[in-house]
Order: sequence, then C-alpha cells, then structure tokens
Amino acid sequence: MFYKMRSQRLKKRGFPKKILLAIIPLVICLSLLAIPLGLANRIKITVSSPLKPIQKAFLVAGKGVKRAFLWIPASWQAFSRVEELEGEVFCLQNKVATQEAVINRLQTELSSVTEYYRGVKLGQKPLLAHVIAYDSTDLRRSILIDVGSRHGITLDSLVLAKDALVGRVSAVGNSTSRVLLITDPASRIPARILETSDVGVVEGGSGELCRLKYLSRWGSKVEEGYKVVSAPIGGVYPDALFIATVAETLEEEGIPYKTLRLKPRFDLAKVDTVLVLKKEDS
Amino acid sequence: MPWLILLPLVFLTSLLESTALKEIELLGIRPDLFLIIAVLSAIRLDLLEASIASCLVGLAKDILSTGPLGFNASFFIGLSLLIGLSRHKIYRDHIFVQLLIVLIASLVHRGGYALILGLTHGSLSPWLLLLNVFLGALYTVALAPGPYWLFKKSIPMHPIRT
Repeated sequence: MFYKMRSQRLKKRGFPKKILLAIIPLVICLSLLAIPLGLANRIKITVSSPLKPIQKAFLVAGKGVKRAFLWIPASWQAFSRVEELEGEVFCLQNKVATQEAVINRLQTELSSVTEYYRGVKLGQKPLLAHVIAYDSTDLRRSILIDVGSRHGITLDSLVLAKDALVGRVSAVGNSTSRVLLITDPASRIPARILETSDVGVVEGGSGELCRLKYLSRWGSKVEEGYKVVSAPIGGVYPDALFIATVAETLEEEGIPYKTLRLKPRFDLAKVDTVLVLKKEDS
Repeated sequence: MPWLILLPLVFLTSLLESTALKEIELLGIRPDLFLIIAVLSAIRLDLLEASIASCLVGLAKDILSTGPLGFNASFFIGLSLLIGLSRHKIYRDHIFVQLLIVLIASLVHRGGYALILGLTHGSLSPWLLLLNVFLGALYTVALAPGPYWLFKKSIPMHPIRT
C-alpha cells in the first residue's frame, strides 16, 4: 500500500520518467564501447575531418598568442637590460661557434644513421604532412595530420620527423589521419640496439620518454647514448629506422628481462611537420 | 535557450582542447575544459538536458582522443546523473561548492582513466600517473571560474522540485 502510494506520488511528479529518459544517452554511449576499434577509429576520423581548416587556424593562432605573451615580458626586460645584453653578445657569439661544432657533429651522426637505412629498400614513398591537432586526453599521445586516404595514406603507414620514427597511422580519414606516437602507452615497436643487436620492444610511457623492454638480462652491456632502431619483426616496421637513444638502464629486481629508458631525439609533442611513408602498392 | 550557449561552447572547447591548449600545458598536463562544462551543465540544467549536454561533451572528447569511443561520454553522463540526483542535497549556488564538485569529478575521472591505462599498459610509471591525476585536477579547477562565470551569466539555474 505504502509503495503503491509512493510510486503514484513519484509518477505524479514525473520524476522516474525523467530519470529513465536521462539514462537513454548513457545506454547509447555504453553501447558505443562495444563497437570494434577499427570502426570506432573510422567514425572518429570521419567526424573530426570537417574541423581540419578551423583546427589549423586555431593551432596557428594559439602559437601566435603564446609567442606574443612571451614576447611582451621578454621585450620589456630586454629594454631595461639592453646594455647588459650587449656585453653578453660577445660571450654568446663564442657559444654559438661551439654549438655549431656540436651541430656539425650531430649532423654527421645523423647522416651516418640515415645512410645506414637509405640502402635498405623501405618500399615506401615519403609525403610531407602538417600536424593540425593533438590528443585531447593527457595520458594518450597522438596527433592529427592533414593527409588521408585521398593522398594515398593507409593504416599502419609509418610517420617520421627529422629522419626518426615518430609513430604509425592508427586511423585514416579522407583528408586527415591520426598518428599513434611512439610515446603513447598503446604503442609497441619491435626494435634492436644498433650497437649490440639486442632485440626488444619499444613501449610508450605517456610522457616524453619511452622504454625498450624484454631485453635479455644477460645480454650485452648497454651504455647511455646507444641508438635504438626498428626491427622488421612483424612486417609493419622496416629495418633500422632510428627511434631513440638509450638514456638509462632500469634495473628491476625479480624480473627476468632488462628494461631501458629511451629518449627520442626531440620532443614529439612539439613536432609540427612530419613525413609519412606511403606504401608503394597504395 | 541553454543550447544556444552550450553548442557553440562545446564546439569551441573541442577546438581549444585539440589545438591551442597545448600551448599552456604544464609538464605535459592540460586542463580538462570538457569536464568543467559537463559538471557545470549538470549543476545548472534539468536532469535530461544535463544528460544530453554531457553526452555531447563526452562524445566530442572521445572523437578527439585515441581512447575507445563512448568512454568519456558514458562517464560524463553518469557524473551528470549523479550530480543531478543529489543536487537538492548540496548548496549549489556558491562558486566554491561548484569548484569542489569540479575538483572531485576531475580526480575521479583522471584517477579512473589512469587506473585503466595503468592496468592495460604496464609501461606507465605510477608516479607519472599520480602527477597527472593530481596536477591535472588542480589545473582544471584553476580554469573553472571562467566557465562558471559564463554559465552564471548565460544559463539560469534550474529550480529543484520539492
């Protein structure tokens, strides 16, 4: 009797009906979770494609605003410290000369790595692309680029910047594609250390660094600065594509394998132009 | 009337979150404007309207990220239902109450996401996840007064039925 009265009172107020209606979107969204990943990626990329020109404009505007904000205090300080800075110019010129020497050395190093894999047939054509958006979730690392299936991009196409692997295409739209960066937690790349030929798997760590896991604990001694390149296991990645350098060896007790912390040559989150390797048959 | 404000706001937030907000990130962490909109909508709007608004906001976030489609949308709707059903118990008019709700929601959202990522991808450092959860939640709250002011000026508070 009491429950009947209560339900009648609630019905009269229309409260449960509203709750039921409000739950419908929840049911729809929960059912979206059951969509296969490939189809979900396809939906996402198709829906976000029309935003491409506006995203490009916002990206440029954001960078411009940041530069302006940084320029105002910097110029104000520079104005008051102009004499001091003039004195420092001489010192900086010397430092520039030193830096040039470092750059020359690094360029030689870079060209040696480039030469290393230039001889290997990649079977892929390069295509220049611009970054138009970033991942909206902090813990994921992906970028949206302004080329898609219309330009011959296919799933798993490799993405490079400054002759180093940046990631692979995880979703392709008509004119945009999403690139899963090597620093994303879901990224797995078969790799080997150039100097020792030890093979492992590079995994993203969500931050700026990534890890080379599953190396034999009793394998060769690895030193900081060793180069890690891709291994052709699985057929997605070609042989000897530069990934990162070894930053640190992580010694964890009770684990049968060794893990290395890797540092990509540059901050992947700040890259704005990339090279996509189109597959020859696409 | 609220949709005239909400729809452009969700569109603008989507653009900002995927592009320009990258410029103000701290240690790789950005504020979550989507969550702020979902929470403030849940506080100010009718239960059904808030649920639809949260669905839109969540789907926008899902579309612009790598995670599974529907994850954020489901969380935001659940959150808006929870807030909507319990708002008669809280003094929701005050800014600090609303900021506190944003903080708790952000901690739960980021914590849940970090937990799922941590369980599914073993390579993530627990310290990095903790930093992301706490710094990200605080950063989100720090930006919440802006949208709060916008909501206060443009969307009237839905009365509570007694």
